[in-house]
Amino acid sequence: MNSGKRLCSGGKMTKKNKAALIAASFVLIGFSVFFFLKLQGIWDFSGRFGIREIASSRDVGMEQALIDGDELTSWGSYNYWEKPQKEDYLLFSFRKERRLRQIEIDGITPSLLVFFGKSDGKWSRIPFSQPRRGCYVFERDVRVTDLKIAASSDARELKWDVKEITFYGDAREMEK
Amino acid sequence: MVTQERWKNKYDRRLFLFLASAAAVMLIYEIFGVEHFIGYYDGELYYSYLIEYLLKGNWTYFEKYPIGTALAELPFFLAAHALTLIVDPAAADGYSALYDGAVGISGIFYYVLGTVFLYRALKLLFGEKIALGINVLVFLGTALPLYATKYASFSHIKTYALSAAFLYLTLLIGRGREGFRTHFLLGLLLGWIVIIRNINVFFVLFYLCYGITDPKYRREHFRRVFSARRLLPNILGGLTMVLPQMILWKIATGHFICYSYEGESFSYLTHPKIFEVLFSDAKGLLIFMPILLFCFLGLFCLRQADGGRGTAGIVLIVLLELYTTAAWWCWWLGGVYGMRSFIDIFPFLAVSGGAFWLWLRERLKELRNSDGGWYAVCLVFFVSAAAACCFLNVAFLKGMQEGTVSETFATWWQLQQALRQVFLF
Repeated sequence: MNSGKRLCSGGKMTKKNKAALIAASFVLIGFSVFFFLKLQGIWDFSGRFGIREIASSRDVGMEQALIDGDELTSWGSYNYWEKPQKEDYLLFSFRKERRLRQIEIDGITPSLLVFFGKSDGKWSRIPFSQPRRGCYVFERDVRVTDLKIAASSDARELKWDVKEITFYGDAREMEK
Repeated sequence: MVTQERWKNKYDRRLFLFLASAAAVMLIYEIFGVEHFIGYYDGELYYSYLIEYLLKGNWTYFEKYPIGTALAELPFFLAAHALTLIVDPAAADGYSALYDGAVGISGIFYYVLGTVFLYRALKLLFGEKIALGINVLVFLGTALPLYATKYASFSHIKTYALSAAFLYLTLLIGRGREGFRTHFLLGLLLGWIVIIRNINVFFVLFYLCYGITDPKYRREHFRRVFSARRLLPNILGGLTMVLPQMILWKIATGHFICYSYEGESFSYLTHPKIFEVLFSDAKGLLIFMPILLFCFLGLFCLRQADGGRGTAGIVLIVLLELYTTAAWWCWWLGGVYGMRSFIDIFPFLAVSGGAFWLWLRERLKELRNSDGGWYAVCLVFFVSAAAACCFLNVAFLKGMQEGTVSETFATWWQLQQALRQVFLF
């Protein structure tokens, strides 16, 4: 059935095969140690994207930003605000100016959102194309030091139950 | 007669029982655990071709994805459409319950189809026992069942089935199966794989490189591969799939060939995100499906399979998959659980997994003859490692289903929590 070479040495293990078996075992042991340490957060690169601070109009459910890779970050989990108000917002402050292309929000947000970016100390509203499935693509790449996501004053539904926010930057720009 | 003989083989019977159980489990999960199938990110766009072309007659419709996935869903769509027209004609909009269910069923169908071909291919290479064992491990140790159910609308489970068939057919050709139909089918399969995901054209390397490491076989192989007797049906088969795509592109864009991923590129060609693709806690292939580590180890044991004839092709395919994924601007491939592009090459990874299994079995036999104590230690160690990998996979999948583990980007603390929940509950 099997047409392959068995590489069997008549019942006795050669030195080469013994070394290979030991090497395979060490790879598995090494990977297990790596896996265990990883689940302890040893390689947590949360700061690499450059989020300095996350603030909001409420303090419920705030969690740290996360990063894995260097061109995106996701934030938080299950930020549910019991009594939503029109003034509610989320504010992300970066360590230095960042270039952003789009934002994807997983969860429930007010029916109309507005985005404001801070650059050179000045706030300005960021226009975006029609959102689709929580994905807001900015009309052009924006450079910001702070980004605010707020409920529009025209929004009827104000409920916030954000599971995750993902920032998409320009990959080449992020490498610089 | 042949069927009766096949049925007498106990491993074939076990495969049938395994597939029947797996399909039943997946069906139960689809009924009780999945809200909808159409509407998951890319999956909705693949499916949209069926609505636009067949229900709206809009042949100028254009999406960045090619039409291969929609083609794979077509029979299920047509069955759902016919049933809906009988039961409730007003709901024949392409999105009602029967259409949605049909997409879910298609995922299970392609899983079963792919697994049958993969079993046959692995049986040729390693015998029935390992062939069955690998398929069971792939089911328990990877997210493949998730891609056959919740993400059935995606392209990956279809490519899994087609690449398993492509692998099997190449092995048969390597064993002397010739004829117009065989080579036409090979071209057709590759053409279909290409119009599902254009980048997967490199799967052809398995066929082209099959045997190049064997000097005796090499010359004969290349002479045959490039003979008119094979090339003609190969090209005809390939064009049967690719030509409709080119015509549709021409209608929609004015060009027979177009780069549909406008604005997206391989931004990391010079510094690919290989570490992130393999080990990030957001998406890492070996973090979410650690059992694949055995397959990567198996790349060094491929001489065990078919005298090493498939080594070059499989190694190249795995490396190219890794590189193209890691070089793409969106290396994490969006908001779906795990590193999904690798599902496409699972049949090739399964061969290297089988090679590792065979190699390990030989080493353990040798060890048993020389040192019974170490034999027992090694046996327990490797079996425990495989079992632990399956356990991790199930724990993370459970965590994802319950919302503990994020589908888009998981974190180390979410993975840790998923494990804790399994231990505690």
